Amino acid sequence: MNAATFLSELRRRDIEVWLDGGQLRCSAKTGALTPELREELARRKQEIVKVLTAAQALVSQERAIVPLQASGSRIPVFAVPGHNGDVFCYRALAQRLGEDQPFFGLQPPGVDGLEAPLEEVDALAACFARQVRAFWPQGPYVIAGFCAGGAVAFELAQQLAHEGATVSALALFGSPYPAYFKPASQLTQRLAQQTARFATLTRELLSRSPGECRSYLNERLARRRERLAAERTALADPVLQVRAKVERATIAAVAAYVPKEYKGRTVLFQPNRQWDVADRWRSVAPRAERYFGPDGLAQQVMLREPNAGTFAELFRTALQDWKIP
Amino acid sequence: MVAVTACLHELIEAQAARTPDSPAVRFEGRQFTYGQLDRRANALARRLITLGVKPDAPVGLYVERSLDMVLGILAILKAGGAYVPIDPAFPAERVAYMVSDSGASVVLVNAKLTTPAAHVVNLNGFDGESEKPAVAVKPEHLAYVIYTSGSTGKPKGVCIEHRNIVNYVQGVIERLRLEPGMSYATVSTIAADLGNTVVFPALVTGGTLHVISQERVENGGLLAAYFEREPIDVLKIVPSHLSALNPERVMPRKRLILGGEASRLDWIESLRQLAPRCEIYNHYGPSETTVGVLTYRVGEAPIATQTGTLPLGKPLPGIEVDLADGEIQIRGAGVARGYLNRPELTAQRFADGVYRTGDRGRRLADGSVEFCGRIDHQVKVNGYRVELGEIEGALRAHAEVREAAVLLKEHLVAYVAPRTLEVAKLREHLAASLPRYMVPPIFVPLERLPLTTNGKIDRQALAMLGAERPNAGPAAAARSETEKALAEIWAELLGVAEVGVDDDLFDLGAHSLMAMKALTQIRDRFNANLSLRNLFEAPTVAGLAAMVESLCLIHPKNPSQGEREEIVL
Repeated sequence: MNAATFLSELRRRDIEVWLDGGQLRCSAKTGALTPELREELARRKQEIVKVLTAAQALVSQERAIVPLQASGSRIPVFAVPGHNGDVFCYRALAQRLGEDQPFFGLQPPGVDGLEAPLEEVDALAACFARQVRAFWPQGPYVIAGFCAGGAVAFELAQQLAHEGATVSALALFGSPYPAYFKPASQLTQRLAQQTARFATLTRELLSRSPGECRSYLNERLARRRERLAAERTALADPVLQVRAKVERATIAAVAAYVPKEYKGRTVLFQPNRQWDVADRWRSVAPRAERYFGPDGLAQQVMLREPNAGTFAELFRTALQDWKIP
Repeated sequence: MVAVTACLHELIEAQAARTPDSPAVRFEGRQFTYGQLDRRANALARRLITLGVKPDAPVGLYVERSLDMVLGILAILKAGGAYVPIDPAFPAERVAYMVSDSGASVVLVNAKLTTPAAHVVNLNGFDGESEKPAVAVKPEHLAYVIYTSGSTGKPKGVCIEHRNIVNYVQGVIERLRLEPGMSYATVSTIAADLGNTVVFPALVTGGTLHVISQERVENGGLLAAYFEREPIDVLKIVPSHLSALNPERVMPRKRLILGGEASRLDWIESLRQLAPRCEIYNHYGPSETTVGVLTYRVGEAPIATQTGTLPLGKPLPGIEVDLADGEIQIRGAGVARGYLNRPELTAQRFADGVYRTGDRGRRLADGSVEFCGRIDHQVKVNGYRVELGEIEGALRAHAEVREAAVLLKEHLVAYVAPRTLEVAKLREHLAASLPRYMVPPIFVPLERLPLTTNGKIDRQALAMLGAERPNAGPAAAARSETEKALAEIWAELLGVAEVGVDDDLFDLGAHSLMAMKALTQIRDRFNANLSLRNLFEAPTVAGLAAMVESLCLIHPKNPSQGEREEIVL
């Protein structure tokens, strides 16, 4: 029987063994600790300490760090996901970057549904900075961000640099400048959509007789009801509910964030040349270089297959020759 | 063979002259009458002519399924051009390839086109009616160029002439007993020719063509809602697509035409019971011979075939089918001009006016042809020649199997639906009829098999699916209660029958939402708070179980009541 199994067996018999500072302590019902048991505990002490220490380490490890690709000799990438906190957004890119490029996703608090999401970019960045430094103390780092995560990455790079760590590069993938997420800006976009929808409706109604109008409107209403019903079903999923909460908190945090000038190397990876909502980063990151995906590529899918290869290639080009000294 | 003397659009024009006020096309509450459709198409055709479209010139048609789809087709034909249908759902790269490979200098769009083209005509803003433009289009001119993707190489454009498609339309109207004024539904991607079985017959017989929106095509509930509101007489659909919907709610009233892949006989029987008054047809043919060449009508009498699938049937008028060396070979009025700009490939596949399909077939007693799998689905397993279609057929013959596909990876892998299938039973079932080397060592039950945009089983997606257990042989069994419980949690989430304790969960297809669900369930079940980090560090049931057990050793204590003693070791 190994130590872990032995300990499980003891727990089943209401005998608790735990580490208290440097001491190994044991508690049981009076009389349960027979001389044989005491002897075995004493004999296995080292083993037990080892198992419990490992378990402690598991509890206290940095939970934000998700090793999408743990091995490699290159400078590790620590990457903040988009507004929903889902580090899987980097999975294809991490795979495409290959086995020599360590790649870690940063999962914000709240995604696991255990804590409340953080509501300020500074706090999110501070939380990541602490964990990144504890996990990989020696540096240097490449800090990355996708979509709304770009603002958090920007602040994270700044905080790490401020603490004296070496940030080799800040890589922002399809990250709009924070003002894009302000309610006013989002409202403008939504209004534009509504206007377009209204224009369609008007055009459709004008091209019909009154009778046709009624059946057309009924049809539209029916479709809308069907769509809403489908959305309601999706909303009942607890995992999706948690995600929605993180999304709202992140968007609000990023919208309120005002970036200060960052002097470190910054690389903007943009889905295509026409995509201009990241341009303002250059007002606070004067050294920012830009790399573009193919014309027409949508930001939402830029890091997914089949596009991940394109951005892995651009990333390698931008950061070539950067091995840990 | 009767010589074709008319062009496709001329047949539609003649119909428009007969019934100008009948509804021709409907899409989500909007419609064109025959007169509107014809006059609008005239105006659009005139516009195309000014942009240089002339007979045999390919014209891109990059439109969402809508009224514009039909308007665009008719206008391009009237201008003398050959339409090149492109599905806006295609990846940008593929769209760019199709536009450049076809050499289309004009592209009609109603969605955002990101590929450069000399002229882009946006149908969203298009309005106007006109008289027929004067263009000398002959039956030998191209009607359309359809891109097909083979298992190897880049997609290639199949050049279909007016005489090919007119022969097809006339043949299919006669064979499927299509009557004037029926209502038709098209649910296929514009980029394949599957839909042509209903689109053109509808428009040359005064029928109403219902173009079903993309949203409804993918959502069985929305599609059923439409069919309940709008009586549909004729539906052409791929079997996998139909079985993924609610067949009981989307059966047409008069004709169901299945095509694109094999249909299981007992499934057909269940369809027949759903709608006893609906005639069910199987329809077979590659794009290279114009939509389809064989049809089989399901009769009252039960049928039995060696593969357990519905026979393909007999050739349409003007078509001859040979079975040379077991391969289905086609000649006659349907055979296309060839592949666009690929003289060598054309010479190879269309030698002597015969198109070699690459499908294997056998002749039944009544003269019908039975499909026996793809020639290129013949693989070698341990030196034995194995026909994947034969294994698939045997699987489909099991009453509970709805869909099946077998691929050769490291080993044979059987993908089956629905997910509730018991693998042990399937193994037994196969072992009863197949030699041992043909029984796949790995089964992956899925809720449904992935489909291509054409609605066929997507073998490429299956090939990419990580659902193959990396270790050959049976799954490593759970050694503890914790492992057993974790294996169950993951099997349920992954939708597979069993998870070996050493299988890489990501290889089996674990993704983001699934991971979060698993971690939540593990937390609820064991009070062990694993993180996503833990999952990436040890992505196996065994690895996770070790962590769960470790965490359980240091749970906050909840000691029993009564007198206790405490010692320091």
